[in-house]
Amino acid sequence: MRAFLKKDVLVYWRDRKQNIFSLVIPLILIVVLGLLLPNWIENPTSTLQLKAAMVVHDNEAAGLEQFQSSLKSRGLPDEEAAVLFELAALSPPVSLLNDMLKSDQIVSMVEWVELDEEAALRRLQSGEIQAIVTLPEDFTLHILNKTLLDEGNGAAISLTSDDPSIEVGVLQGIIEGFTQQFNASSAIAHAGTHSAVTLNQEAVLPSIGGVETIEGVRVLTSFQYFTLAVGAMFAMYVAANSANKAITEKREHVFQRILLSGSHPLTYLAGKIVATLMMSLLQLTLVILICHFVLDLFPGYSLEFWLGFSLLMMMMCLIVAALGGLFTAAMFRMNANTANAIIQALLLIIGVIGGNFAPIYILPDAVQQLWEWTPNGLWLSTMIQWIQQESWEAAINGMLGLSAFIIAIIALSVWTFPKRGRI
Amino acid sequence: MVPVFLAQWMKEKRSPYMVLIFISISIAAALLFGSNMDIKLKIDTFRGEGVTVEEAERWIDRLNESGAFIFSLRAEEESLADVRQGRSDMAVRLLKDDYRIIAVMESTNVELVQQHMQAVYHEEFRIMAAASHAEDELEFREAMKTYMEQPPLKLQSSTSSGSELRSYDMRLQLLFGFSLFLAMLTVGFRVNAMTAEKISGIWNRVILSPLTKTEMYLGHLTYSTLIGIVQITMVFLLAKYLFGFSLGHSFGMLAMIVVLYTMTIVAMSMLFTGILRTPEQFGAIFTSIVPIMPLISGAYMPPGTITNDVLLFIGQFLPLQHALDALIGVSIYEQGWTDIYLPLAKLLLMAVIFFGVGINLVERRRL
Repeated sequence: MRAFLKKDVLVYWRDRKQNIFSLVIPLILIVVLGLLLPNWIENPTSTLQLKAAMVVHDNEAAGLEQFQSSLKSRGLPDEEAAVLFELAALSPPVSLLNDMLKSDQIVSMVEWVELDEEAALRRLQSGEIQAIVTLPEDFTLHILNKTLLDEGNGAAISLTSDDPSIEVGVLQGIIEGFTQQFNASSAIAHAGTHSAVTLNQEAVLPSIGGVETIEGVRVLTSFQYFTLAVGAMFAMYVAANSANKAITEKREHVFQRILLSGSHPLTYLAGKIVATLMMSLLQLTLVILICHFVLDLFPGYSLEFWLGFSLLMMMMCLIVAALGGLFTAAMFRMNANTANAIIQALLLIIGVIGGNFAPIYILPDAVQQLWEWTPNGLWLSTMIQWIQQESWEAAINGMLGLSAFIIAIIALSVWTFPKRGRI
Repeated sequence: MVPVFLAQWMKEKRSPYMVLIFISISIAAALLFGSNMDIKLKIDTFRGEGVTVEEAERWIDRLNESGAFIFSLRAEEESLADVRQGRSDMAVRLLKDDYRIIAVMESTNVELVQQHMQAVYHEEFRIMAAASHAEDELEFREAMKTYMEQPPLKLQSSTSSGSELRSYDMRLQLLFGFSLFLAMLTVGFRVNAMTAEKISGIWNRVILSPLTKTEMYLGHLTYSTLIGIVQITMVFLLAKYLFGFSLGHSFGMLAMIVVLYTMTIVAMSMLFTGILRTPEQFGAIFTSIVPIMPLISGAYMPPGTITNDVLLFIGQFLPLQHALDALIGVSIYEQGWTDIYLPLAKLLLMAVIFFGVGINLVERRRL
C-alpha cells in the first residue's frame, strides 16, 4: 500500500497548479463572505438608495383654519372648541408624517424631491424617480375630522410606484408602520374619550426586551460559522478531485497493471483514501489557520479547546477521505461523466442540507430534520456545539456518530470497488 | 457539422444520466423555493417565570398579527436545545410584560425580531395603560376594535396605471440564479467531452475525415449550447406551469436571454478548457469555481446587498450577473428591449472574447 500512497502523493505533487487553486478558492470565498457579511448583518437596508417624489395637494394651514371654522359653526362651547383646536395644532398629521419621512434615518435612504403631480408622474415613467408619495386634498381636514370629531372616513396616503423593488417595499413598510402607529394612538384616544379619559393620557413606556445568551455558551460569530462551513465544503471537493485523478488512471489502464502485478485491488483504494486524507488535512488546516490569523477567529481560546478542535478537524478529514474512496469506486464503476454528475449533485445536496452554503435555519423544517443525517451537517453541528460549550460529552457523542458515518462510507466504497476479475 | 452533432446526441442518448441528474436538481431547487421560501420565518417562544399559558398565547396572537415572523409556543427545553445545537438562530423567552431574545449565533434576524417585538409590545402597553384608566376594560377594547376597522389614516399602494403594486419576488431571483448556475455545470461537462475526445484520439480521427475544423467545433459547441438551453427552458416551463411563477410579459425575451447566456457559458467553458490541460483538471477546477459565481453575482441575496467595489467589479466579468440582471429586468420590472440591451451586449461581447481566446489556447496546445 505504501507504494500506492507514494504514487498518489506524487500525482498530487505533480499537479501543483491545481492544488494551489483549490487552496486559494476557499480563501477567496471566505474573504468574499467576510466583505459581504458585516454590511449584511449590521444594517441590511443601509445600502438601499431610492429617489422619491412627494406630492402634497394638502395645505396644512388652510386645513387647520377650516377645522377651526368648522368647530365654530358646529356650535361647540368655546372652551371645548379651543381644547380641540389646540390638540389639532399641537400635532397636525402632515407635520408628523413629514417629521418621520424627513428624519435622518429615512433621508439616508430616500432622496426626496417636491414636485407637482404631473411632473412626478412623468419622471416616474422615465425612471428618474422610483416612487411617488401623494397626500390628497384636504388631507389635514379629513384626518382631524376623523380623529378629533369622529366624522367622515379619514384620508389615505397613496404610494405610486412601477418598480416592485426591495427599496419600494421598504418605503412601503415605513409608511405602513407610521399609519399603524398613528391609527393605534387615535384609537386609544377615541376609546378613551368614550370612557371619559383625557386625551393626552400618555403612558410612560418601560424599557423592555434585550438579547441574552445561554449561560456557559459562547456566541458563535458569523466568521467562525462561515470559515468552518466553507472550509468543510471545499475539503469535500478534495474528495471529488481525488476521484477525478482516478479517471486518468482508468483511461491509461494503470489499475489493470496494478492488478497484473499481483497486488490486491483494495490496496489501490487504500492508497487513494490515505492520500485524500493527507490532502484534505493540509487544505483544511491551512484554510483554518490563515483565517484564524487574518480574521482573528478564535481569540484567547484554551489549549483544551484546540485539542477538541483538532480532533474534530481530523474527523472531518477522515470523512473526506472516506468520500474520496467512495467517489473513486464510483469512477471505476460507471462512465466518468455520469459519476461526476452524481458526485457534484451529491456534494451540492449534502452541502445545502448540511448548512455549508447557508445557515440551516433558513431552510424548510423538513430539510432541517435531515441536517444531522448528513456527515458534514453532523460535523458542523458538533463543531458549533464544541465552540459554544466545549463540552466533551456532546463532542464525543458527535464523534461517535461521525465514526459510524466514516465506517459506513468506507464499507460502501470497499463493497462497490471492482473486485479482481471484474475489470 | 451535423454528424458531429449527432454523434454527441447518440452519446447522450446512451448515457443521459448526467443531464437528467442536473435537470432534476434544478427542478428540486425550483420546488424548494417555489413552495417554501414565502413561508414566514418561525420563531420559538417559551414561557418565563410566572407567565400563564393564556398570557403567553395572547402575546403570541398579537405578535403574529403582522410582521414577517410566525411565533409559536414551545417547551423551554426543546426551544433552548434547538438554539444550542444551532438548529434555530434564536428563541424568545416571554416574561411578564417583557421578553428576552436568546441567541448564541450572530444573525440578521435578531435585530429584525427585536424591532418587531418592541413595536408590538409598546403599542400594547399604551393600549393597556389607557384601558386601565377606562371604566370598563372590555368595552374599551371593543371600542378600539371597531374604530380600527375604519381607521383615520390609510395607505394606498398602486402602480402608475392603477394596478396593484407587487413586492420584489425573491423566489423568482433564486429560481433564476439556481437554474443558470446548474446549467453552467451541464454545459461545462459537455464542452469537457471535447477534450476527452482529443485525449482518446477520436478528435484526430475526425480531423482525418473530410470534415473541416470549423465544422467540428460548431458541431460540439452547438450541441453544448442546445443542451444548456433545453435544461434551462425545462426548468422555466415547469416553474411557470406547474408552480405558478409569474415569469413576466415576454417569454420570447426570456428565451433570447437564455440563448445568449448559454452561448456565453459555452465560450467560458472553452476558455477553461484552453487554460487547463486535461479533462480531469477541468472537472476538478471548473466545479469548484462555478459554485462561487452565483455568490459573487449576488444571486442568493436581495439586490443591493453587495456594496464592495471589488466584488461589484469582479461581478462584471461573470456572465451569470448580466443574465440574471436581464432576466430580472424582464420578468420583475417588465422592461423592454431598450432596457436590457446593455446586459445582452455585454454577454455577447464576453462570448466573442472567451471563444476567441479559448479556441486559440486550445489550438495552440499539443496533446
